[in-house]
Amino acid sequence: MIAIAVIFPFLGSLISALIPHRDTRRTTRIILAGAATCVPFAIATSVDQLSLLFSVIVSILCFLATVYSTDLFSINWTGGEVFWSRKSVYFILLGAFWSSMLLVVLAQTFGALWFGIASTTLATAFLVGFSGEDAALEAAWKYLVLCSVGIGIALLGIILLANATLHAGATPEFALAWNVIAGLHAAPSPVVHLATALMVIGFGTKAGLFPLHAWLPDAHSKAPAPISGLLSGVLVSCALYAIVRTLGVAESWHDAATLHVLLTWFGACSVFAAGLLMLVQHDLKRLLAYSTVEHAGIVVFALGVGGRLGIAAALLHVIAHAFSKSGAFFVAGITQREAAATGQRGVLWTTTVGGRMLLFGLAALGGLPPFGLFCSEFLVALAAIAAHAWAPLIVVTVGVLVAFGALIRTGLQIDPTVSAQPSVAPAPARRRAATVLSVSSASIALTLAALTSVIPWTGIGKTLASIAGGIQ
Amino acid sequence: MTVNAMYAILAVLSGIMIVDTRAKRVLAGYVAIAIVTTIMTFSGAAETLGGLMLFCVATVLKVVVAPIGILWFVRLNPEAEDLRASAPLPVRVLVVIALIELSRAVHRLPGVAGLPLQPIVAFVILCGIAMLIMHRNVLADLLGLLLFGAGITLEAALVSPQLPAVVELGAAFDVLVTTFIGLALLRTLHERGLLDVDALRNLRG
Repeated sequence: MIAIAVIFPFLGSLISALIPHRDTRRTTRIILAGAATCVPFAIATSVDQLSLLFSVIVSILCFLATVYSTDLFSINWTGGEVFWSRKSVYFILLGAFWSSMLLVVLAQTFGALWFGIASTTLATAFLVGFSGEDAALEAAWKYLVLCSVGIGIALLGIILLANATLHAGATPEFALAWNVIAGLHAAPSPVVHLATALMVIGFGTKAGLFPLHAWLPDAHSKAPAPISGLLSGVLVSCALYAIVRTLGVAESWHDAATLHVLLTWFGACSVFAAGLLMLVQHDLKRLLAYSTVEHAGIVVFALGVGGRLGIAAALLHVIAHAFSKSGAFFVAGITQREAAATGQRGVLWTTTVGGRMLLFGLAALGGLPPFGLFCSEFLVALAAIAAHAWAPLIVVTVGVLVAFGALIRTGLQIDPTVSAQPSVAPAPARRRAATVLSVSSASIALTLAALTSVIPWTGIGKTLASIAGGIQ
Repeated sequence: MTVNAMYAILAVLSGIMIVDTRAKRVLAGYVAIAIVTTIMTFSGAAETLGGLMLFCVATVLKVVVAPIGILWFVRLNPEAEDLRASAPLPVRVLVVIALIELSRAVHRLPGVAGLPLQPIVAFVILCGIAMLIMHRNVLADLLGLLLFGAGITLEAALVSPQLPAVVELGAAFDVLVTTFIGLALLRTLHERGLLDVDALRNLRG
């Protein structure tokens, strides 16, 4: 059943690509994507709460990206300058991306999880270079090479972990299953120290943590807007999920003290560096991409601080960031299109729908109430104070304040046309439909970003606390 | 052939891959390394019929299909044959010597000390990463990734020979697809005159 859930989005994209009539194909695509969004609920009893939570985030945002993309291309689109710049290829790769992210979050072993992470790189390399521009190709190349090195390091860690679990008495077929590892009750081992550190570095590369972030601003800024939204909002969440699972294994081995220190400083340095780098950005999508580095840093810092509150705050931050960032990238795409269509330059937030929505996107990412990131950042700070992690907390606080300033100052003055991609601007005949679909997707994502602020007072909040208690 | 002789071959070949600048010779070096690592992983994989079959598929993907793809690319684009070293020969030799010393130090790391032959694995992996830095032709990045992957396979064979063969197959599949996606991107980069890493500097800051 889990295998069907994983493969469903990819199959749906293949089936819809085979339909010859354009309008039928478009409708089928949305219906199948909607069905794929419901599939995680059908397997709710087969997976644990953490997997279920992340699979719901993946499914909702992938569905919104599919809806957004439906009229993304001009009606007479004949492909870009490279052979993969075709509408059918775009949607098939989007389906493959969706399936590979589901594989990450529904996997039961580190082997399958690693394969899912590796598959996301392969599914999205062409999506990053989709426009065929020189800069997009450069971004795709960097993405492929750096992420391949990162996931290679993670695999190295997984192999070492298997060595430790096999010596602790696990059978070969279950050597990488976290449920089995949790039940081993083995003594702390230096091999596990090394293995988990390598896994965090490897998955951290995929999450864009400083100093392994070099590929992220390039790839996230050069991909089409809905893909940027998924890369920043969902793929980074999947990499953070892998780090959460790694932390869970280290905790079950009673061997997580070193890992907590590594995570705390890895996160703090990422937030600080991202804040500084955001100050010098002149491209809206690049600014948003660096903001992803900042928020991934906050999550990893919270995991490093640890404790039930720290881990629950980290999970809440992942959820709030996923919706906020995807929404902001969706809005960035709308403002780019408006700028390309009207020829207008400079500040758009006073004159256009997308420009006004951009205000909400930036407020969500800046951690202003009522958006969920306000709540999660507050809880992260409380967890750090409770753990007496003063030095890294000061670094994180300075980083967050600098990033907030950069987001507001630069975000409102930025010229969206700097990163506009004319190759994905729809023809006038479809502009209205494209606007309705993209504005709806962005609005839903931003509304969900605001609703995440009430999570601590709902059943989902209790679930997060229960998951955190299980990991701790 | 003794195990020690195999390790000596691996070390020499990895070093040659960094020092040499001709794509076909470097590729031949990778194939030789991949064959040696395959021989070393064989005993662990051959315990069951299913494991043996997965092992054979993984071997064909890594040792035959991926190198043929790169060879095909070099034949079509003869300019890619020169990997354009980013440092002169003496510096490259010094880098290899430094990597040898670094690899020997790996044995002193806590956690690694009890594991077999880690300096050799570390050397192959570090050579793979060094390949990414020591050449300006972006094709060298792909060859570096292959060498890096061979080092990880070797680590799996030495440290966790009982690891399910499906993990090995997954890694081999990843290598294969990465190679072909990389070649597709390389083809386009070559058409745009962007085969030199110095040309890939549009995105900074």
